[in-house]
Amino acid sequence: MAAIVNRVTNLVPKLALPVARYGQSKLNRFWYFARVELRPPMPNEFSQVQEGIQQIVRSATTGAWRKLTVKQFALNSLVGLEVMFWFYIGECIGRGSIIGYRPGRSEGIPAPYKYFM
Amino acid sequence: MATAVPKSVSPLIRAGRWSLLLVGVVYGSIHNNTLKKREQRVRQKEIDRVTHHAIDEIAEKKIKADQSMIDLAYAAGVDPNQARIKQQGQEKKSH
Repeated sequence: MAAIVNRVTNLVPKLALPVARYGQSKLNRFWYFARVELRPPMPNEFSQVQEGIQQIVRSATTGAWRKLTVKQFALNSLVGLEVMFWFYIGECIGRGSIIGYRPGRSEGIPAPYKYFM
Repeated sequence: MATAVPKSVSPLIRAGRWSLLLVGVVYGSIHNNTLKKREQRVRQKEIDRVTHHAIDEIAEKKIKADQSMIDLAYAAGVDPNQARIKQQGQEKKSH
């Protein structure tokens, strides 16, 4: 046990820099895509949002959604599902736990575990 | 995939994502607060119930002990009331 602890404490400062550089490169790659794809809509794009909503409502009322190809319909439903999933991730953040509501159980368990138990 | 270029996503989808994220955070915290309050009330009721149960148990034990002392006195041929009066008289004399 003491040998394992010693080995770990000797390895950690040597590994810290490569791990940090690896994380940095991954974060850079993520940011390169995210600053275009995940950006929240700016005020000059609100009119497009409005048009998009109107287009959806129009296609639902006139029945034009029945004229889509199956592939387009499947893609649209996948995108819709992904947008719904963000709501559930927000709910996880708001309630402070990954798996379920935990109203009475946060006492007694230290920090990273109480969100998973 | 190093030649991948970020694709511009329609603003409607982006607006939907971020607004649903905020709505989810708000809803999660509100619902969590509601459940916490409900859990507090249930917990208080349970604590009261357990306390009353413990008090009842102690009272029952005391009653049984007193009853067994009285039965012992009768079995030994002593009248428990007279014995009690005599004991109180002795305590008053010693004070």
